Order: sequence, then C-alpha cells, then structure tokens
Amino acid sequence: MKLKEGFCTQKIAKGQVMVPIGSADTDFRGIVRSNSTAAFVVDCLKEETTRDEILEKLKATYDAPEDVMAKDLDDVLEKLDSINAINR
Amino acid sequence: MTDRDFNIELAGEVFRIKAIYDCAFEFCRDYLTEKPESATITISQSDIDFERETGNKNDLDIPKDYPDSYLELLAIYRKVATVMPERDVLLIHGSAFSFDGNGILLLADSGVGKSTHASLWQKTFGGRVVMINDDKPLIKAGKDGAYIYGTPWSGKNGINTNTKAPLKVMCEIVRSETGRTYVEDTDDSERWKILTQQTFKGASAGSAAKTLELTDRLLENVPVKRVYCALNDVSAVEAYEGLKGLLDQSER
Repeated sequence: MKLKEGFCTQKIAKGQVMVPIGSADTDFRGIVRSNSTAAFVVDCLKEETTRDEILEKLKATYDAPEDVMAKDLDDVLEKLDSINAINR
Repeated sequence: MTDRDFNIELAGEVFRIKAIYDCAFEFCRDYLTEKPESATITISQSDIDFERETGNKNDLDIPKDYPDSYLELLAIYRKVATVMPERDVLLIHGSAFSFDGNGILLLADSGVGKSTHASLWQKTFGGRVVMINDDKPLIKAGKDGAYIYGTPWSGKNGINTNTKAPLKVMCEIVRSETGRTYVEDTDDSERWKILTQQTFKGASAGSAAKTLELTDRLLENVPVKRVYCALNDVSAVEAYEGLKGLLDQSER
C-alpha cells in the first residue's frame, strides 16, 4: 500500500499536516493533522509498504508496547482509508 | 506601460501583467506602479478557458456567456496567487479591514455574513474603519508578524483599498442564535481547519506545502477567535468589546 498521489504533507511546529491538492482522487477537502506517530506512518506510506513493515519500523523507533503501537497504526490507517488517501 | 502590458504592486511584490483585454488595466488602476517587476504574468486563451471550466466544475455557476475579459481577471489572480507563497504571501478568502490601524480579518464560507459584519463596523465606527478587501485579501506572513493587504480582487461589491495593516486578529464568523454578539477562543485544531478551508493552496504539491508552512507561521503570530455575530446595530460594539485586548490602542 502507498499514499495516493495528490496528498501534500508538511511538517509544522506541532507535528505534521496533510491536505489534498487539485489532482487528488478524493472528495475530502479538509486537513489531516498528525502527531509524531501518525506523521511517522504517513512518511512510511510515501513508499510502497505493508502494515507489518510499518509496525516493524515503529517498533525500531519508539519505545512502547507492541499492542499499543499496533492499535495506533491501525487507527491511522483507518483514518487515511476513510478519506481515500491510500492505494491498496 | 500600455493598457495590456503594465505593472502592478500587490503585497509589496511587483508583477508585470500581459493581458489580452483592456479591462484588466482599468480593474487594476489603483495598484499600478512604475517599479520594476519580479515576475511576469502572461495570460493566454487557454488560461481563460480553464477559468470557465473550473468555475462550472466547482458549482460557481459561471454562465456560458460570461465574457472572456472577466474570466481573464480571475486567471490573472490565480497566477499571482500561485507564485505568492514563495514570496511568503497567502491569498485568503475573507473580509479584511483596519480599525485604528489594526488589521482584522473575518473568515467564513460565503453567505454567513462576513461582509455584513464588516459593514456594521464601518457604520458604527465611521472613519476609524478602513476596508482593505472584502473578499480575497493577501497576507504577508513574516517571521515576526503578518500584514494584510488590499487587492483589486474584492468580490461582487469591489470594496478594496490599496493599503496594508498589521494583522492583529483573525475571526471565524458564526451566526449567533442568542441575539447578541460575543467572542470565544479557538483551539489549535479548529484554527487549522478554519484557515485551511479559506486559503488558496495552488495546484502543485510545492505550492501547497509552502502554503501550509506559511499557515503554520501565521498561526504562531496571529490569534484566531470565533465571533458569534447577531448582525444587528450593536454587534460591532459587542465584537469590539471581545477583541479590544488584541488591538493596539496607540494608533488611534
């Protein structure tokens, strides 16, 4: 899976924001604000990857229980799916 | 300088405009300058056709017989707005005015009452209020603060002044259900949503990313309030009471 073309991300003072631009294949016209974990996931999705690969990268980067990270990851992926931002 | 090849100054940036029709010159008359340009905006028929297609796709209901000369004006501003982020300038949809020299920007979707509320400030406070732009002002988002600028592109009433003011507060306008006007704080998430909805982001990823960077800078420097407006004879006074702590009183 991979983040779709047409979504623009930008690091800001408090995390990351993401918006669709004109070419994005989505009806979503709002803004997604990401904390550091969500921003990490979004950055991983800029290349073709899998859920398990992202989870491995999270485990290598963050010091938190695996089940907590897995739930955070699934929440972010669900949110991105809800705005049609991921090609699967 | 000719009627179809002229320079204008917007938000401190000078553009050479190479237009197809004469009316762009008249439209931009208050913003003409002899200063040298930093960029050239050249309009072609395909730019005008794009405006017609885009307007209809976005339900702006642009009539098929809208003159190309009018659509050319939209095309010029789109091109200007596209290169503005790299100059630290944002195009935003809102009604901007100054009060005792303090820039105030009202934000909301069309039809909520931005222009009506701005006109109530004018009616209430007279010459202390200068309308800057009633529809699409420009904001220069500097590292130490922001300035809001007039432009000719100012909505159906064409209300604008070639001036600038330090931007002191941005206000989301919401219709009041209580018959009185009052001011509330916004949280960080709300502020991002309010600004993102009303900011021109351009069609490219680079332009959008720079716009988001400038939005972040703007939010660091300028507060965002939510103003519940009753749109009656006392609403400007009531709004002022809620905002006056943010305004510089020394410029009166």
